[in-house]
Amino acid sequence: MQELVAKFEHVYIDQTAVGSSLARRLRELFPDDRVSVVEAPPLAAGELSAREFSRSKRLLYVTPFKGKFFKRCPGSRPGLSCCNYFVLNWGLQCDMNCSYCYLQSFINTPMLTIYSNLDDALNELREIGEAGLKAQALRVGTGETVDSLSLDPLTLYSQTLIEFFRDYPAWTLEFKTKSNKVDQFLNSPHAGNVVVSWSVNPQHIVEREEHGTASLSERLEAAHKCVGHGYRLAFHIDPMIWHPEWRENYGALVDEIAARFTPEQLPYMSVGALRFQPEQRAMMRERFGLNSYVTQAETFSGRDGKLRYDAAVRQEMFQFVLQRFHAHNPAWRLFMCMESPETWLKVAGTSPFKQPHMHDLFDPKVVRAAEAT
Amino acid sequence: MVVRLMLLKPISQCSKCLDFLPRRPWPQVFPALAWRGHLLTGFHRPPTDMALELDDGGLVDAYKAAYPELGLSELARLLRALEATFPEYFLEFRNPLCTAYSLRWSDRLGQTIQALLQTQLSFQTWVDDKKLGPRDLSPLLALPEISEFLPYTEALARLPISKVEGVRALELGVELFLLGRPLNDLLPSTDSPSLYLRRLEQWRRPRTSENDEAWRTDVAQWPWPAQVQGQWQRFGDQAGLEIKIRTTSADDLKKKLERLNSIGETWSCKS
Repeated sequence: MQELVAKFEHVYIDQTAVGSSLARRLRELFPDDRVSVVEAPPLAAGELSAREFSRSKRLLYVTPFKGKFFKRCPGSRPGLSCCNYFVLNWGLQCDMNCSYCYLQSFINTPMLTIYSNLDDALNELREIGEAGLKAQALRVGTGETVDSLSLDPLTLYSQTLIEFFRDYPAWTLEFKTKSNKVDQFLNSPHAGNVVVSWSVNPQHIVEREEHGTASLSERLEAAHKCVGHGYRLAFHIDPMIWHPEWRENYGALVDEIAARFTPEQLPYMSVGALRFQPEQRAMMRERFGLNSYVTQAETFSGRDGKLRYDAAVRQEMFQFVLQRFHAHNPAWRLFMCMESPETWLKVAGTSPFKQPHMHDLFDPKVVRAAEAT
Repeated sequence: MVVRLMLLKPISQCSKCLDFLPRRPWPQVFPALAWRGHLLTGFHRPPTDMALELDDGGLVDAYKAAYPELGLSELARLLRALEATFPEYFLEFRNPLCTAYSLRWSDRLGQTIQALLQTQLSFQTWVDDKKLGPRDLSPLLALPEISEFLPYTEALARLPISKVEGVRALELGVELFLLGRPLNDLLPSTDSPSLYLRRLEQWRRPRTSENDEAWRTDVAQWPWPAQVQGQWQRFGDQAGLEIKIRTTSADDLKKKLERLNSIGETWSCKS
């Protein structure tokens, strides 16, 4: 905890959030001279410079969120074969520093924002349940605009969310993280519908590109702890990053996962290749130079406007990982994230919508029903 | 009736500290303008000419009226001159002046302006001629030392290149330089922007370029039917065949499509 508290130079609490449980907790954790109550955001929003973006990870701002918490995954686009993943955003920015992070493409607030009104988010979910979706297989993740767990020792939002989802056993709550911070919720009673997932990459890539994150072995250890408490797991090998030794390194990653876990413990995994918005390139270049595999990447404009590896390169990487997993055990279930139907055909031989074992993840009825509320 | 007294002052008695090297000369029909003894326009008029001293009112309004449009480089030089001349008031002028020219002051804009001011006047003029904006210049912010890159910006400014091509060439040049390409290699050796850009793109994506070139060569030698042209082409992140068929009858089309089946088999074998 001390390490986490030491990360932040200052905590700003909006006066409308002063009475929240989050604000009270942060005032207990942080020394008084590093906490201020403010009437308005202390730093103006706008297009951030590289140094402002980096500094934003060291300033906390607690405020209520006035928008919609619950949304379809923002990566879904026409022309891509997308799963029925929804997101619940309880914050914006991340305290870690991955070179490829897509937050670099759009964040214009010079502080790491945590929303104080999680209750409003839960009310939104209640309304969705009351609109007839309580029995639908909704998959709701909290790791889209903020890491689900790296700040959880400060917020303890995991405990509140796990408790809420006990009343919605058909829904899946997914935490997505690159941290190893799980101790704070391990003993929370849950309904078996919580998936704790990790974005994973070979340790070589973790060291080169995922600065400030837990090591691969720390993430896998944390996953083991979760299994021991009845949580389901998922791994997202995403983004796969091409580098000269990619086969050796991703092969070793697959072998390690296959050796340490079973398909029953990991009901699904996803793979995705490096992809980013063109406007992100400048920020990455300024913050990481051209020494990063990410900034060095040979990319082209994909049909969704993102810069991606050549399609044949992606297909080769995905096929390699899928075949390596299936060589260990054909029961491993993997899907590709944000990929085109053509890639699905070339890699998996068929669209996910036509694969019965993918139906629960790719059921378009769930998406339509949720979007209609 | 309101009569306003307008003070005329010899240019010799006015300061030229605010000369930001505007691209367009001040129209001869208008007197030069000054503000608190500092020339705002007509910097090249003879010292014996007179300048009209404006009311001690809004400097930003005066600039916007005198220069309805300013390029990014001109604005950068103006901001530099204002900061040097009025250090105590500069922060009051800076944001409204940027807003007047449809920009929003930010740390990032400040860094971009600093980078731009380190480049040659010829490059700055090129930036304004092409109407480049701050985002177009973002590659410069990745350079640890702009001075090392100046031969490139100078050469780029001389190339007969469109805005879109120029912005791409700047980005590729910076990235290739940061990847370790010698600067001499990066300087244009052709006046053809498209050839130049193609070379830079190939260097920036060597593996894919080599792969595409190998396919291009191979595909050219496949047994294409008469009046059928096949080429290996790249379409964004996908590469593949582009086939043009010239045909004059349904029968002829059918025969050509049957012949193309063998092309498909050739392709399958090589994939």
